[in-house]
Amino acid sequence: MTTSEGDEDPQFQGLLDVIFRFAAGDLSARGRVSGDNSSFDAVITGINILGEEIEAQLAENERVEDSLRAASLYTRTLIEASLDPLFTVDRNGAIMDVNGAASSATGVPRSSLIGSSFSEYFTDPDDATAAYRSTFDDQFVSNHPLVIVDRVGATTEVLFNGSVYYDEQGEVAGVLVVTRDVSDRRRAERAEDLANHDELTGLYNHRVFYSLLAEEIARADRFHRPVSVLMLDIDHFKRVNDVHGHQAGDRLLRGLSAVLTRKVRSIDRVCRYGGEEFTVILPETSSLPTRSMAERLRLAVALESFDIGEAASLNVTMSIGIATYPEQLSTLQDLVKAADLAMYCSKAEGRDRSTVFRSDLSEV
Amino acid sequence: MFDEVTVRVARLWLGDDGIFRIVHFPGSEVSLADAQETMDAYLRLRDGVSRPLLVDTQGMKSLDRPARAMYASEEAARVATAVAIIVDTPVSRVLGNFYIGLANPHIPSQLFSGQDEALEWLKRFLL
Repeated sequence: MTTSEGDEDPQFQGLLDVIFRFAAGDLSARGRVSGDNSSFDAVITGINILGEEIEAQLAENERVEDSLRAASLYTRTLIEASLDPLFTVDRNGAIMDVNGAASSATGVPRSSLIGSSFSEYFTDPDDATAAYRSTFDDQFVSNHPLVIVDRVGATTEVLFNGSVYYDEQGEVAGVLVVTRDVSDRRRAERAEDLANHDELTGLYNHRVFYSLLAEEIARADRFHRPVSVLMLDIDHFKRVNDVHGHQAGDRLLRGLSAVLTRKVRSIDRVCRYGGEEFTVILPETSSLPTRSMAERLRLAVALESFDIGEAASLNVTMSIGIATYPEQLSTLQDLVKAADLAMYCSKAEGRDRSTVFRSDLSEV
Repeated sequence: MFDEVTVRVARLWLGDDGIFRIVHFPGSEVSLADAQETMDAYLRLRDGVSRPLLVDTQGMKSLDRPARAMYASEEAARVATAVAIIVDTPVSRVLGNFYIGLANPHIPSQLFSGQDEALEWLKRFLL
C-alpha cells in the first residue's frame, strides 16, 4: 500500500473516504472488504461494524427520545386537560410547574409562576405554606380549604389536595398540588344557607320552621312519640324599638337568639318565627318536660342583661305558649295555632310567664 | 459423522462427540436471512437437544448487525449450551471480538484460534 500522491491504494482511499464521511456525520458509509482476509480487511471490517453499531445506537436513542417526547406530550396533555389548577412545588415553596388552569386562577402567565413562591397566590400565605409543608411531612394532604387571589384581587375558593412525588432514586422530588375550585359549591351553600336562615339572628327562618316541624311530626307518627312546640314573644318589644331605636332592637334580637340557642338541648331547634316571635321545636318531648324547658328559657332571658349598644343594656321578659302533638292537637297547623293561643294567654295574664295550651283557651 | 446440511453460507453437522459444528464457507457474507437459514438448519439437526456449538468463522467475510443480534438472542441461547468461535484470521478475529463484545450473547461464548482448544472447552458444556 502506498499513500503518495497520485498512487493511492484504492482500498486505502476507500477507507479514508469512509472515515471522512463518518466525520461529516454520514454513518451509513461502509468500506469495501476485499476478501483477502488481510489485516487491512480486518480494519475495514472493524470500522464498518463501528459504523453499524453507532448508527443503530443513534437510531435507538432517537426512538427513545421520540418515545419520551410522546410520553411527555401525553403527560402535558393530561395536565393541561385538568380544569383544576395544578402546581408542582419544591421544598422551598417555589413553583416548579403549573397548568393553564393555574395561570387562569392566578392571572399570572406560566413563565412568571414558575420559580415564584407558591404561597403568595393565596389570601392566607401562611396557611398555604403550612399546607404544602404538611404534604412533605405526611406524604399527602386532602381537601384543605384555601383561597386563591389573582392579580386584580378576585378570589377562587379551592380545596388543596397535595401529594408528594418521587425522582428516579426514590427521593421525594416535590409536591403535586391539585386545587379543586369549589367557588360554585360554596356559593350554592351560601345561597342555601341564606334561604334557610334568618339573616339577623342566624336562626332557622319561618319557612324552615314549618319544614322541620313537619319532619318531626312525621317521625312522631311513625314512632308514636310526642313533639312539642314553644311559641315565644318578647314582651313590649315595640317599646324597645321606639325608645332605643331599631339598631338596639336588632342587637336585642341577636342576643336573645344566642341565649335561646345556648339553653336548649342539642336536639331542639330554635327558629325565628317573625318580628319578635321565636319558636322552639322539642322532638320526643311531652307536655310536662316542655313546660320545664319553657320556664328555663323564660328565666334565662329574664336574668340576662342584653347589650343594646352605646354602653347600654336592657332586661326583657318573654311570654311563652306551649303545645304538644299528638296528645293535645292532631295536625301541624293546629299545633302551631295552639302554641300561639297559649302564648297570647300568657300575655293576657300579665306577661313573663309560660302557658300550656288547654282546650278551653279558645276554639282551635 | 451424523447428518450434514449445507446452507448458503455454511456447512453444519453434529459430531460423534456430541458437539455441533458450523463451518462458514470462505468469503461468506452473512446477512440476517443467512443467519436464519443456518439457525433453521441447526434446529432441524439438533433434534430437540441443546448442545455445545463450534462455529468456524475463518472464511467469513462479513456478519451484519441484524445477523449478529439474532445469533446473540435469547431464542438462540435456548437451543445451545455454549459457543466456541474459531477466529484465526484478522477479519474473523474482528468479527468475533465485536460479536462477543457488543452483541452480549446469552450463553457462554469464547473465541479460539484453534479447533482443538475450542473442542476441549466445549466438552464442559455437554449435557
